[in-house]
Amino acid sequence: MAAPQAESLIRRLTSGDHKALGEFYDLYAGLVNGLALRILHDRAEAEDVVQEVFVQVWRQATRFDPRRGSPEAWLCTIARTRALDRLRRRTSRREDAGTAPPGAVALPRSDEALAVRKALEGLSPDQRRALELAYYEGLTQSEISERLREPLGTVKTRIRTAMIRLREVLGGRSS
Amino acid sequence: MTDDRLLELAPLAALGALDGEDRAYFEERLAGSEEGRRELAAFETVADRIGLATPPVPPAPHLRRRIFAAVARPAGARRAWIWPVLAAAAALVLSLGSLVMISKERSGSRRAMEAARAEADTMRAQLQKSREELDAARRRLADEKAFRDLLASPDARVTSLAGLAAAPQAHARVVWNPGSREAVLLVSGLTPAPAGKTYEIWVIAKSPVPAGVFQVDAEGGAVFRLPMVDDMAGVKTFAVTLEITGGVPSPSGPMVLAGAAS
Repeated sequence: MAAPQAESLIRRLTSGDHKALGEFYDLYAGLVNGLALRILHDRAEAEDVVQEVFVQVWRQATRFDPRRGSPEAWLCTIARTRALDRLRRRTSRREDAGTAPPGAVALPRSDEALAVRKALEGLSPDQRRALELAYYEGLTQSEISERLREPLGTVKTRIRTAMIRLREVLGGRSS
Repeated sequence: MTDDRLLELAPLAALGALDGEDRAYFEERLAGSEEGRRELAAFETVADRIGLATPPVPPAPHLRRRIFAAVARPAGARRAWIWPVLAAAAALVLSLGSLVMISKERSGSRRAMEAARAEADTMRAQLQKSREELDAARRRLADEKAFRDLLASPDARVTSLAGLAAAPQAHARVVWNPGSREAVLLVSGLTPAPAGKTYEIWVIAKSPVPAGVFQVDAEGGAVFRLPMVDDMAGVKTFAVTLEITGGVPSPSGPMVLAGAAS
């Protein structure tokens, strides 16, 4: 999926084009749902997040800033924020907090997604684990240190090193 | 001077993973460090993309209908005017292109070329101005939309801010939503800030968090959308101070408006 096509869909969304919303949804609902499921491990809640994300995209398409990243990255940011908000409001987890959400399909599709996946696979397991706890569970550095039973300094170094490595591999804005 | 600790915290801040002293340090120093803000922005574009690695999962078919039902209420009416502006900008681009071609064909006449160049420069300037107006209109539209959504939200709260000794005629309201962390400030009766100064709003939960700078119009009015502040749910007070242009990380100038959020 080329970013220019998605960016032109976003331009159509800003003019209130319902058809563009349908096309946008068909392209990215799987991505948003996959991410929400990975964070929440609950199908119904993940679907609520998907709905919130696309309604927000419909209403706030003018806020998309192509200088900050691709439409996919923008969607991930909105989806993660909404899913983590729900996770924090919850008192107990539902379903198993495994790493593979139910119904996952083989691989992400876009070149950018593949590059990110490859970059993550290039991290050491320790670095990736710490980074994923921050990203998917929204844990802070101290919470990650408690969860992993590792010193806070170690956890901070792992996350920092992982982020620097990702920045080197992925570069700035990809398009 | 480079603040090494601030820069080291930037990748963690981009993930929202800071807490405790590190978070306090980062938030306090960030506004004063352009390098820090640049680093944070760079790591945020990295963080924004991590989720792309997650395997996609097709949602249930009924969800598509549910989303269309949710957006079915009219939303496009007020956007219609943006297209004439875009069309005008496009027409300018086209005429600029044809002008350049014409001027090439008539290269024999230097004077005509210069006139054409001058006209092309004028049109370029007009195009630039149209683009800027369009950008400003888009931002205004997004602000208005956000404000309408905020007002329509059942969780929205309204806090009145009274003018203090430095601005007794001023009055303001903050409409805010502790859940979504969205907030809009509406000001009236505030004297425009003198040259080199600006108004800055603070969201105070435990300590004052800067929430943006704004200017008022000639009538002393302003509508300003606040950036999302982490501690919005715990806010105790909203306050406005007069500060140097660009704003400061913690309040230092006279306070002109304040109100308790209860």
